[in-house]
Amino acid sequence: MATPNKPADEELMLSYKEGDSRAFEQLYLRHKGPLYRYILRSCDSKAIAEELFQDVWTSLIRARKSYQPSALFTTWLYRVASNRLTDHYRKSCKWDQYMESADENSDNCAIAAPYEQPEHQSDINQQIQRLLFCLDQLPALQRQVFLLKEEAGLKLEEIAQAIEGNREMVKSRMRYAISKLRLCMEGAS
Amino acid sequence: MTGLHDEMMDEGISRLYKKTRIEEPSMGLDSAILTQARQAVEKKKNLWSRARWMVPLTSFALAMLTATLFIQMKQEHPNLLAPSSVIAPAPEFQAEEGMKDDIQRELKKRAVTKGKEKAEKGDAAGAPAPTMELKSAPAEMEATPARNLMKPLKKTKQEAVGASHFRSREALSETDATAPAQTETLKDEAVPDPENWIVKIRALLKDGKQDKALKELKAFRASYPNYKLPDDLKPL
Repeated sequence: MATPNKPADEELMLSYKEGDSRAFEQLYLRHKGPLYRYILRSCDSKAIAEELFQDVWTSLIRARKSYQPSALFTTWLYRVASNRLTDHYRKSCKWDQYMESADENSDNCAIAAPYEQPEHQSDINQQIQRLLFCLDQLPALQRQVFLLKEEAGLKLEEIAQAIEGNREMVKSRMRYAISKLRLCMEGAS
Repeated sequence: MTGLHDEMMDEGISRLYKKTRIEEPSMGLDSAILTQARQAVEKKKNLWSRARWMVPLTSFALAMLTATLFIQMKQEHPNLLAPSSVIAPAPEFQAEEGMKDDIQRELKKRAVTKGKEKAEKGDAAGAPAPTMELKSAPAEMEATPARNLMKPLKKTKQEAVGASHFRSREALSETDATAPAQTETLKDEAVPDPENWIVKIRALLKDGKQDKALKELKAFRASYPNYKLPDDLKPL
């Protein structure tokens, strides 16, 4: 993220730790969109997504005093978000449902699903809608890995750190996710 | 061929996904989070800026309070802060102790004298034995405690009734309105023991100091009018 003109996330967080609220503003503007979409596409509703999104930033604000730039800021941010999502599912008694959908071998892809297929597949908007639908059909853990790559721009190792897993597991989930999305998109066409 | 197709498809999915990235948090949410972040930092800043002038102010106030207390203590009790006061008892206490000894000595003398006089006179059998009690001190003694207490007993108008009971300084300050009949006013000067006095007069006569001996005898008679003089002094 750091360029000659732009300070790195870790520097901004350290500045905020020292009391510079403008550093936090920069950090927030940088990450608000990807983080918001990551949460939004991982949970049921927009209202819950907004609540969880605010919770993540509140945790960050509170944890600023103990912040140490030992890892990437992005990894830390998405780890907090992933933990919040897990907590949310546990609290809302949807943990079983979540874990069921998280089953990596489940074949609940969109091909067989009752999907209102766009009539004109050439239309880009319809393709986007189709992709979002397919993404929603993915098992939760595969979707999580896909979103962390696409939204947060994390590499496999960084994703593994964020979800507190290992690289091979992440790689496997990613492969499944892409494969299912591809199938879903092809099936639609 | 299939692999290339897959890669192209993967890239296509990734490219297509990028086009979906349009959702953003609402303006209200943005402002709520940024305000929260700002407040968290400002609170810390405010606390620090307050602490910056609170510490010296508190130190100054503490120093002022200590100095004021010290000065006040020095004014009220000048000897209290002297280093010797730690070991030696307070002057007031010393004075009180000294006075107590003086009074006790004097009261013993008076008791002996009285006893002898009564024995000589064959005093009435029903008269109650005098109980020695120090009744009161004059008002001026109360006003200037330490210095007055250091004065010898003969200078004060104290009344003694018995030797066994000694009353404290507080008792001394009580009013003398209800003094019992047995109390006897002390003379302005200390009166020697009659026997010793007679021995002294005899010594003066022996030394040929007739005038002085007569003066002493006069004083003796004034002090002890009822005392039966020995035969050798009667002609004088």
